[in-house]
Amino acid sequence: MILDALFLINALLAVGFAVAMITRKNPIYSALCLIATFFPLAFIFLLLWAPFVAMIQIMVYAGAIMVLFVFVIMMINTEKQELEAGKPKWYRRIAGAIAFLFVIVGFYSIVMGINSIAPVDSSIKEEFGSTAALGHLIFDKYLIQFELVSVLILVAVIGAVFLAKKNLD
Amino acid sequence: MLSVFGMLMLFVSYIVYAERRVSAFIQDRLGPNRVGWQGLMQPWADAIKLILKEDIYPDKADKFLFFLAPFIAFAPGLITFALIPIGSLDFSDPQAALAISNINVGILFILAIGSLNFYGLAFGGWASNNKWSLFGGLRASAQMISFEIAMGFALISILMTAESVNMNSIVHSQTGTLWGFIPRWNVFVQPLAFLVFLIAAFAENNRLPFDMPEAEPELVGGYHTEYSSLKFGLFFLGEYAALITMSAVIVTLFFGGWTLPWVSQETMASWGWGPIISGLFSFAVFIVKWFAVMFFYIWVRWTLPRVRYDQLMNLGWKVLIELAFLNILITAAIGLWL
Repeated sequence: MILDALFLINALLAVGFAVAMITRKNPIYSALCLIATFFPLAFIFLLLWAPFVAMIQIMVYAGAIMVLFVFVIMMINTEKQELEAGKPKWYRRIAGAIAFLFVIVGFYSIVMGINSIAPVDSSIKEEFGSTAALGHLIFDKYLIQFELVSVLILVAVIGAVFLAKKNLD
Repeated sequence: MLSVFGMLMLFVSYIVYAERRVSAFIQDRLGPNRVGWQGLMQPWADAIKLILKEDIYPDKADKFLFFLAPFIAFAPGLITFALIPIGSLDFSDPQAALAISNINVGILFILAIGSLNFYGLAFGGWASNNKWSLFGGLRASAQMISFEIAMGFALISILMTAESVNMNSIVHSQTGTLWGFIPRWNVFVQPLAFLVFLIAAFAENNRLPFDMPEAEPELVGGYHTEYSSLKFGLFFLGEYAALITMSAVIVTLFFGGWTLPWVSQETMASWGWGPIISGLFSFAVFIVKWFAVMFFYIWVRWTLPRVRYDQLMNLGWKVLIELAFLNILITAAIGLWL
């Protein structure tokens, strides 16, 4: 019961902040709303017995990635050249319609999801979702996949450095 | 919980006083000694002064963020303190911590929430609509993200030695001795990690020699140039609250927390003390170490000059991160083959 209520509150908060993010005119407020979105999401991870993922969610997204976002927004300072709304073009209407569809789907899944979240029964061991369990999964069972993803990220990093260098010369 | 909050606030006000007295001592001055005996009432006088000052909003400031920023800067230092085991209620039970909260991902929580006070500085600098403030905010963001990486990697080797991310387990992994005569504290087991963590912690807290975000001679006051009254007070207190919490984290991670050096856990458990005496005793041990680290913070501030900004960034990216990586490799190799 309490879990349901907590889930509902956090899900609504997350969706609310996400909507606020895309409706703000000032990009710095959008960034602020996006940061605020991560906290209810982290809480939902906690409800799903995944404390490690919850902490990483805040540490990586709110603590690192959004820092860079805010950094860039403050550097380019878009506030001066107020983004003109203008008349919606046809593709904007379609995009809006699709986005609206996603919102409906999101709300629908929140309402339906209440019954299926975080079953409090003995099938979940205490170690489930702990740092140790996750480490064993990544470095034992899914080691090859993990290494492949690492190589992929490395390629992306090298690509980014290459592009940045080219602009400098 | 409220009592811990009260204690922290008291500490925060008195560490400012301590800083002024210690700095005066180091520079052969007197420091504040007029209000009350030896100037001990100075923090209260300062607080009353701050509260009574006029609260000014700059004309073109972003009102909402300008209001919000001090709170974001203030809160993380206090929140993360909830995770720190400041004592133990039962020496024989590894998880009977005297802490507001004892969760399994303790140190990760401290890292995650502790990194958030950056937003206070960045938004404060941006919302003031002042070039110096903005510069202070930008410097804060660049500095914090750089040193957080080094800090996180230094921490990984600690977690490898402790084999846990629970704060209390980390404390317990540091009892006993190395080769019979050195306390098995992480500062001796992992000296390199300690060095990297300490430097990164100074940078995270914007303390000299890394106080770029508010470098007075260049930026007036950095991100809080435009702030006055209690909002400035919140920034000020937030900085010291973060310092106090970081000292407590350092004590917990590297100096064995509330445990006594050379005394093993079994010996302490065999004394058979009740929870109240155990709690008070371990808290007293913790507080001695804690004050020593805080004094070290102040000592360093009044000893070293400020480094240049590019030197700071070079240190963070080209030295500390590599050292932390090297340390992880060494720790892993030793853990694997010994």
